Amino acid sequence: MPVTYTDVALRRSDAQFSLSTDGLRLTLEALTFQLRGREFSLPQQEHAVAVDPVYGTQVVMHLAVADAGGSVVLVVDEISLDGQDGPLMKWAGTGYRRLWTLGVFDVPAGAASLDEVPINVSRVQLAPEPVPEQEG
Amino acid sequence: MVAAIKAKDLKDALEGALPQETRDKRARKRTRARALRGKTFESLTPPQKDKLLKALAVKAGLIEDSEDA
Repeated sequence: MPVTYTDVALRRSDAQFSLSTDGLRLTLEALTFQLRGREFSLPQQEHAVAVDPVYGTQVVMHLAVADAGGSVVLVVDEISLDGQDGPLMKWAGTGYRRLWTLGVFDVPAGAASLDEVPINVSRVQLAPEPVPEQEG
Repeated sequence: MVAAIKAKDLKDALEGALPQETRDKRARKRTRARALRGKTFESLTPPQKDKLLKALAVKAGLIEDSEDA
């Protein structure tokens, strides 16, 4: 799962996360960030990507905050690339307010795994990976 | 572990809050678009050609949308 990061200058946030995949399942872990002086914490989230078997699917990951309670959630928009489906454009009335678009990637038709799918994420920092202990 | 929210559920909720007439209109448009998907103009039936040309003319602003379906 090649992950590409953009806008690491973090104009609006100071976020750290780790993203892992297993087949078509993706897991977002340990995301904390500050936004407008407020600290947010996102519990570990998982999602199984449903792929359009004929046309492929564009997956857009949004971070959003619930109107009620103010908890942060991951909203995953799976857009069939059949030319008829469209993204979630209007958030008013959904009960959630979009904070920013965390990432986007295209899954080819019929894909059974995200291993070879490049995932583009923005405005986040990669959580430091554990350093393996060296022997001797 | 928490399951992420599917945007489709949010879209469906928004769609469900719309008036029935608007939902029916959108459903008809989707059905029509799916029926045309992957076809060439020559392979369409005369009514389909007529509807497609009318829709294109409406989109181009050449005629007014007198019939929503």
